[in-house]
Amino acid sequence: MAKFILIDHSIEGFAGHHYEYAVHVLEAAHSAGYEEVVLGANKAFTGDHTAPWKIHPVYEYDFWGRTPCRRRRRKLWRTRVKSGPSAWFRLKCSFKFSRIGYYWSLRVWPQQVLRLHSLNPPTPAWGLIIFPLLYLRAIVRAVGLFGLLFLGPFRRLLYPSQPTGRYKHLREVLWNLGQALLYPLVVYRNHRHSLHTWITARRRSRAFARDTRRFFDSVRLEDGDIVFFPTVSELDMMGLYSYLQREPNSRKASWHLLFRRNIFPGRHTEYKLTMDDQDDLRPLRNAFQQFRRSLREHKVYFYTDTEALTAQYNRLHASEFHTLPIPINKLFRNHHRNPQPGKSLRVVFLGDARREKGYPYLPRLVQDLWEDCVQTGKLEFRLQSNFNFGTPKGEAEVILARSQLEAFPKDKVIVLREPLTTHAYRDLLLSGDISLLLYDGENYYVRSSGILVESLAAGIPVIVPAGSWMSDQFREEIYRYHSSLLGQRRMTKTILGDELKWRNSGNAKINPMRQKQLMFGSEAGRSFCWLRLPRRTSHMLVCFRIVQPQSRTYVLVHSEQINSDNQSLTKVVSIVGGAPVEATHSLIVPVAKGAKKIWLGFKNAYNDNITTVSKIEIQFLSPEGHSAAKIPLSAVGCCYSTPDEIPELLREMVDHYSHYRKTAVAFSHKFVEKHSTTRLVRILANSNEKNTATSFPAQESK
Amino acid sequence: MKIVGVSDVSIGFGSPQIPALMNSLTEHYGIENPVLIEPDQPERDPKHYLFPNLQIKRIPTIFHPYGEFGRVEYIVQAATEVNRVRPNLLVICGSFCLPLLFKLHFRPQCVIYYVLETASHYGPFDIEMNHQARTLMNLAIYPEEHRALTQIDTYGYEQIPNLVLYNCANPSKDGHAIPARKRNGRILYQGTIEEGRTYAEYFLNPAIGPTLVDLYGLIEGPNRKETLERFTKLVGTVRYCGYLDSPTLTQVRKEYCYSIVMWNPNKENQLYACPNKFFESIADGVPPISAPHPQMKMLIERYKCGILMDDWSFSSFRAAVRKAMKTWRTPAYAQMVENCKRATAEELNWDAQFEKVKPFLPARV
Repeated sequence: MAKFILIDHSIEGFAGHHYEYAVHVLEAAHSAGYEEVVLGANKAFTGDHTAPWKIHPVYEYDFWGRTPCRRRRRKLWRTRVKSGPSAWFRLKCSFKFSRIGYYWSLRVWPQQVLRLHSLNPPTPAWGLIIFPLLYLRAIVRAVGLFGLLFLGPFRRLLYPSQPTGRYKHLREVLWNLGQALLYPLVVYRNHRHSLHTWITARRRSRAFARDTRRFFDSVRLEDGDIVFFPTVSELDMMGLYSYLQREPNSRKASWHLLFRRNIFPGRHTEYKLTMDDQDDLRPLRNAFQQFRRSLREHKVYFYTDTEALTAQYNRLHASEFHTLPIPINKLFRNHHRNPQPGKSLRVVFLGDARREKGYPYLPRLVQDLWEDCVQTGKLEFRLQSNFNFGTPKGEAEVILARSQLEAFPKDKVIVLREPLTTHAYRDLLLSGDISLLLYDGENYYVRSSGILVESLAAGIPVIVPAGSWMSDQFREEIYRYHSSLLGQRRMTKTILGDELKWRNSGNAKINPMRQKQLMFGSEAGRSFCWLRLPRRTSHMLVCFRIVQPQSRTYVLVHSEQINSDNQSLTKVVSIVGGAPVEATHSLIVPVAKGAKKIWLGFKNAYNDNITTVSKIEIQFLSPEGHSAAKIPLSAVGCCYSTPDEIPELLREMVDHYSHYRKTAVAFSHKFVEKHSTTRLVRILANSNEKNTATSFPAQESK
Repeated sequence: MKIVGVSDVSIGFGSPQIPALMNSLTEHYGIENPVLIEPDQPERDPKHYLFPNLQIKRIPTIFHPYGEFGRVEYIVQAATEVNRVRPNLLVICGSFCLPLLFKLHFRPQCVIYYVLETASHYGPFDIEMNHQARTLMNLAIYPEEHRALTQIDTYGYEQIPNLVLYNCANPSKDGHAIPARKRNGRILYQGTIEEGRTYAEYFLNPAIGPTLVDLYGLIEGPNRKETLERFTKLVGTVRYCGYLDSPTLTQVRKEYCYSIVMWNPNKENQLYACPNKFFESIADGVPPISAPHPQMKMLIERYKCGILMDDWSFSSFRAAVRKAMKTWRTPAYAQMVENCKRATAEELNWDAQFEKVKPFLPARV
């Protein structure tokens, strides 16, 4: 049978997400019956292993363009050389802050020294040594200036502000000659940054081609082989292009490239702007087109790992992209553990300590929960992060957060700095009762998260940002739970949207509710209404459907509860929506004690487009029996609209942990089925079996 | 076992966190009489009697210690003293005292750099020095998050622990906050009074209306005399009450309904202000009326323990003061006072702040 080859140039050892990903895929390939399974890794890869695949550490650069091998050497050199302040600075400082330095700085005010020191007995007479030194310096300077007189005509060249006719021409000639000679330096000085970027890009691309050639010198390609690159950049792709072009043997195998980074910043409504206004994407588009045109006989397939990311790449209309499932380690499946009664719930945060991953929020989060949850033994934290502490520039918040976290008592908050092995990582994740993913919602609007996938597979409740790929994964489960409440709880009242008097903050004259559909825009075009709360109401459930636009849309629902004195009691902001658009979206708002009326507002969460929703229904739930106990607000996990909400969501999860765990476990079965590694290998194999260059059918058929 | 602290100010007039840190370290290690070296600021009398647990050494200099030459004199003499004592634990306060690290003839077991002010304030030499000194210290402490971020980013302090300790005071031992109905119905301003820098002109503006404000502190700035004259001529709702020392001010503060805290944000140190008066007011159950300096804004929003101005303008100041007086004697005010107590009990007290330092201290020095 054919070979399965996985190449990930970012794998440096037996730890990290790149390695985890590779392991899961290689295991699945091995189980699928591939007789030879091979892993290509970074040159820096070290360590022995017992897995049934060969490892070839050949790649110099990783995905980020770093050279881990050289970096280690550089680091060692730096620690040796830069173990303290520079000798020169130490000398300078010692001199400046010394008695001699003191008199030196006072040299221009000798009268001050003599006047103020006259009544100061400890003044050392040797302090006056500075004056002979000054005298000496003056003589040296005078002799030097006298010597310049002997430079004769050249002296005039040194002072171009006083050119005379005889030497003017000579000076111009010399000046032009100098400019001509220094032209490369001038160009370099003016375009240094662009030049460096260009040189680095070329170097990386060529290195990738060279290393791939080296790799396939030792791993011979045969018919039907699958070569899978789970993380590649555009530069790597061009390196591969150069290899494929020159190596006829490469036609035997099929090549599968997975892109996991977004090419458009922001959300999909901003994509068009990026396409129209910027040329940044043109080189990328050209690269894909060149790839397609020049390698017609090769079987090359492009993938991403989320539907939204696939849609982004397909917008380039350069090649066709497909979505691959995200491999889940089988160890995470069906590994559901219930927390031991009486023990604290363990909150885990795993992954890189980066700003975009929300690491700086952690100290404040722990502090907020300290009094009522952490100190009381309801919660404990295990925070494992690596990678970023060695390269801190621009990540000062992370550095500061790390120290703040390490200041908490070790039995409550454990900060793990070291990278973990696969098993240690798995044990840590599985030991968690709640998984925190405090990522930047905008950055992860289309990007996937391996930790989220593993947490959901393991049935661990999660806290994630609303309006992101992460919240979309279990949004439907939340809606399902909300609709299930309607059958379980008694309702005090139901109000339909068109029964309410709606206003629009942008134009008070228009009624935003037309033909049972509510229209609203962004902040300026917010639509709102007032609701009087029925007696004995514990929660308010708001349901609606998004009619327009049909693409992925998020709605921000704002509610403010007012008491009989017209004082604001609570404000709740929820972001709902996203995929799937056709679903009935819903949210629950707990009613505060003493609240008499509610201000309910709708606006578009992330853009200015006009959004239309229909079938608005507001249900008021009565308390269970005679108790006013709160009901869980979500299922599987919780989504936060702003980071300030995270402590409250954690409290919510602590209060209803069994509900969240139960729903997360139930969801995990479905989720694992969707993201199976076996399915991923099958997709790659099926593409290969078609045996045609199916990567661009959409373009070719036209 | 010896602990030495080198202060950048004569203590007893402000910066209570320096003696507080020294006292906490002393308690932590169970030693007696640690040495604290302070410059001899001629405008500030020695207040050593306020700190009986500290052995304070005041270093006289021929020039003012805050001048170029006076600083050199102070550092030279302080370094001589530190080299003589050879402490195991050394606390350096501010960039002002940092050159001392380069003059040590030994390496203390632990060096704590208390970054009370940003180095850029002192010029390019200090910027370079802060960078070079990063390998000579074991812990950096800041009073404000943004200052910490600047220091870490600019000077490369990533390899040492960096902590933010709020400029908190411990709640006074002699009792609880005075109930609202027993307070004097006035607003307190305490601290530096200077036109422009702390908006002294706002209090002189007749548009402030019938707001009862008492000001305590030293009048400073280039127009010191004129400002003082204008304040002394005031007849009506705003009163200038002169300067009070720290213990007396603590007694007086509790009588007031609110305490005003604001600095002109035109300098980095002032934008990222973290005045101890803000924390002292909260500790005494006097809700602050604060300008939106990031740290104060964050804490007021978190604990709902004060009134926040929208910005630094006079209209915002006036609106905040009016809102404050409207809220006084309502349940909302009582709740604010209660929130001050909660904030102090939970986080905004010096003991809680020092707890953060403990894990980074060597077990034995």
